[in-house]
Amino acid sequence: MSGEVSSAAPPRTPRPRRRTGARGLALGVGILATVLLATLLAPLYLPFDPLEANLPDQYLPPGTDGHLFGTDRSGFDVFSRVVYGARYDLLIALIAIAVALVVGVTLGLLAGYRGRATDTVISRLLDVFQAFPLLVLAIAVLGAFGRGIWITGVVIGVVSAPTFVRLVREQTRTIRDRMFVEAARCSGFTEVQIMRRYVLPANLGVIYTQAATSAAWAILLAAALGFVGVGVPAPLPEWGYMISTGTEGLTRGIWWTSVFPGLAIVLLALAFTLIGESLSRWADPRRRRSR
Amino acid sequence: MSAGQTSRQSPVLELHRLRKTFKVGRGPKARKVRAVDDVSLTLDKGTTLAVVGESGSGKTTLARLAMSLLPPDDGDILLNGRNLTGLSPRALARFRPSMQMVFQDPFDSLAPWHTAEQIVGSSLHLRRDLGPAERRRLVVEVLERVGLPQRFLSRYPHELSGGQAQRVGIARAIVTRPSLVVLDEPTSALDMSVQAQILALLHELQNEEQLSYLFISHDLAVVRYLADRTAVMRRGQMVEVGDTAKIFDRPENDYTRELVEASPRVTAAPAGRQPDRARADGVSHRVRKAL
Repeated sequence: MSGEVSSAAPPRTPRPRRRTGARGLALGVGILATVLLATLLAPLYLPFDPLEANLPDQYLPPGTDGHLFGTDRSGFDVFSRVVYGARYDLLIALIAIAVALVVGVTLGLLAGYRGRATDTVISRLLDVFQAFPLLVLAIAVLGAFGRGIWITGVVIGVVSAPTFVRLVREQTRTIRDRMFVEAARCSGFTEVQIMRRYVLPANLGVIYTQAATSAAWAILLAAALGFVGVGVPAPLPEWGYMISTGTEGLTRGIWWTSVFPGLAIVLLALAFTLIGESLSRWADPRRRRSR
Repeated sequence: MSAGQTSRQSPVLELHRLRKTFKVGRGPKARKVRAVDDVSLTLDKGTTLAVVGESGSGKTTLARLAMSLLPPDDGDILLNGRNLTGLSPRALARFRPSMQMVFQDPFDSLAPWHTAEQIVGSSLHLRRDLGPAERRRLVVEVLERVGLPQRFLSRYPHELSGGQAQRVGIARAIVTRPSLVVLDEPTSALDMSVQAQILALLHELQNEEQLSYLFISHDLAVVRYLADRTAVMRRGQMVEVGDTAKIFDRPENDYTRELVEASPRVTAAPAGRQPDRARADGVSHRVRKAL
């Protein structure tokens, strides 16, 4: 192909080649897998029962009597509860993300791609929905439908969905008029196939990144719900609830009851972010490592 | 509107009194723009019909109507004698392989996350009779026809030059052996030297495959090189149509004359059909001029 040096349009600025993110993905998945294994196998090795209160041992500092992370107000072993509680927070985050993705991405694609009346209806409904303080809405729904892991996850997912709708809608509106969509139409793809094969892939980058953020946020929201008493039922060691109740001793120097579950949230958030970032990088061939 | 004296077989494409109006703006300021106003055209097998006009003259709308990507307000579109007007998208899908399109911006018309093989193969997705191996063979074959060796199969668009990307676009269009190919300014986004190569390729493919081109362009030098007949559009209306040489040398319409005179001078060609050599000179002259 001699003579074909470059093209006039579009200007192709050479992007800096970055790592594929394979290392980040491995690290994120590694953390997640470790946490998952640790919490699922917890009953086999934990020195204390995470659900057994022992009032005389209240507020023991970390390291005393085998309490690695100390004990809380009720004498619960903080380490056992942090490890055991991971299953609830993971489950809530995963349910929430699944719900937010299915609802948010579908509506966002429809609104952005179909435009016109579909867009107007979805966007206005979203405005109405988002006009409510979402936390209050979540509390109301949970108050009405009862408490539990699943319902908490679903409610958090629903209140997280609007972010996805808006993101995907915006992105889709810029994709809709690209010529490769028209080309796909020329190839005889149906509109649904076009959305799936040509519009959705263009959204994957932002979706993965936002999913990571939302997963971390879901845990924090679960904490907030636990704090006001509508989230995960009280005796269960959910991290957010542990932090909320654990902070009451903070002024007296009792930091371990809230810091350790807090660190656990940070660790999971880190894992989610690492995975989300690497996936979003992988979604764009231009950012993949050249072969 | 005569079909011309050159007609050998039944026309590939007949546009009959097409009309398309767009509403621009909203509310009281809304006005109607007649993008295509009572346009009739005939394209014979193995020939090229150019549609020229300034931007906003309705050329691209006409192309989209011809491809049935847009329903006309009024009038008929006949492909190989079959009336496609009013067919549902599902019914149209059957005719998609026999009409294909090459787009102006090669990069915008190729999905960034698909390899050349996927892009060209996507045109064949309606061919359920093809196994993966056969499909691949067809793709390899057609890529070779457009001058891209097998190593290009796994390339992503950002790894291609402008000319190479447009070759992929052409391959995608011709892999289904279409009877109609709509070329929407296929070279205007390319470098001059690459333009000439792509035009030569299009010309060669037409001779070998008896392709029929509806060639949308505002570049008269290119039109002169490729088109057998030329139609001039202005503000949605067809002002003149006839053999290319006649349009250029003895324009009847004032607007056509203006257009021809305003364009960079092309080699004065004697009346009658020119051998390819002279046509190529017209382009190279223009290249020289532009440099």
